[in-house]
Amino acid sequence: MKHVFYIISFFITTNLISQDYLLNFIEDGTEDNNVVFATFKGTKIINLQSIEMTAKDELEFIISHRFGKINSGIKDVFGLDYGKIRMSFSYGISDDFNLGIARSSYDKVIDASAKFSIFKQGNKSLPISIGSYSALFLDPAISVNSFNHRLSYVHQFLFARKFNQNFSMQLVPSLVHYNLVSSSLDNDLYSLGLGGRYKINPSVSLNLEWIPIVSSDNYIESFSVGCDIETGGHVFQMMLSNSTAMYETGFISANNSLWKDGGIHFGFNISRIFDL
Amino acid sequence: MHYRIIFFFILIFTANNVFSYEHYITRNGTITLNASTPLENIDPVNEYVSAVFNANTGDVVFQLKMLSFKFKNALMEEHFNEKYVESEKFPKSIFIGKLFQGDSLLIIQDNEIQGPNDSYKNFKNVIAKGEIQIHGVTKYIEIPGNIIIQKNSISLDATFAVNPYEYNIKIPKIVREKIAKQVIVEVKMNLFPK
Repeated sequence: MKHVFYIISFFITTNLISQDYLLNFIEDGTEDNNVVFATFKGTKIINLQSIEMTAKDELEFIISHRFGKINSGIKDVFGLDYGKIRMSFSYGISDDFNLGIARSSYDKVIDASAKFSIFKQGNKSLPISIGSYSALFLDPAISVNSFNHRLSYVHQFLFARKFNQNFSMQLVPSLVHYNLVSSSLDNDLYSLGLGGRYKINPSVSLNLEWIPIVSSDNYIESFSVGCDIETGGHVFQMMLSNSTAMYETGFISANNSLWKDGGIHFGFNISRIFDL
Repeated sequence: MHYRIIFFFILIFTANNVFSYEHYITRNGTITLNASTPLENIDPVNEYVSAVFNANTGDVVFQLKMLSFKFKNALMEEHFNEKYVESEKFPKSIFIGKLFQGDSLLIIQDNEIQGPNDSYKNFKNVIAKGEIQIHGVTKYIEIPGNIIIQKNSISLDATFAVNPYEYNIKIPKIVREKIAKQVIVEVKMNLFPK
């Protein structure tokens, strides 16, 4: 009688196990890397570069506008009558290396840039993503004989962390170097930019950006708030900012209007990706 | 008395071992999605699908990571993961069910696997019945497919359609014309004895 019981209990136990046990066969071992994606919607937070890259063999075209001061009143439609434009192209040599060129109507500045993705958050359990951005600016409006005096540079590190599906932040230490400055200013300038985004739904995020200058009190800090709207293939970014320039040396160190005086500029960036 | 009990245990354990091929398994099965329209080619491939089939019970499990779907267009891949299937919230899709042949469970006998010669093959039309979980939504589904039993492997293929709305995957109006209403899912894999 006893052994019959054993046999019965054996069959009962086997029958109790559902198909879920099969999961054990495939569950183990395959925990591959959990590299985060989409830390930001676009390759720019507002003015600053974000950790996002243009993908390999893709060309990203960003057309940006910044309008006049909002406090200029109804006569100038709150600044809309005056617009500055920047057109920039960035190409993905690889997923981790981008080259870009751009032209701004503000001071007619031309710039060339290189952007690297160095580490990605989640790869080997790193808590942050690290990138770098370097650009060379040519200001043809400066009336000096030496070509070198028309040049300025920016070197930035991009430290970004995606805290959760909706919230990401980025720290951007920058070195700005002018080959030519007035005698009261330093050639080198250090700033520590801070950017963040909060996604309010899958297609829309709110962005914030603040770029205090660490090494000097002679400059007006850039502060911007914005909103990203992403449609398939386009990112449409709208913002309010006290910066009019859309290139790094400009919006870090050449601001001349203040939020508290109503010196706010409305603007937008539109990005379009082309598959090449 | 004790000897008899021990004997029965031995019998039970050896009985299990008589079925020399019980579990068939793969970690690199292929699932292709197709949501293409005249406006856009959308055909991501996932080449890391895991599957287990128990030849004695007909039980079958498929599992994949949404992030393993590779698109030709990097931006499309990002949007798929970020906006549509929300891969961070719902990293895996799973099917748990049983394989049926007609109304009866598909149970493969040893003599069906070890045919008379090396090129032995045995084709069957099967239906996988069970629960599929995509984007956190679980649904009962029946998937018709074919299997080929060979000497040392089981090949399996199936094609079925999935409607994203049934799995609470919302597609914004602006891209609705570019993404097919029904996503065709193509499953193809070779399972080997574990």
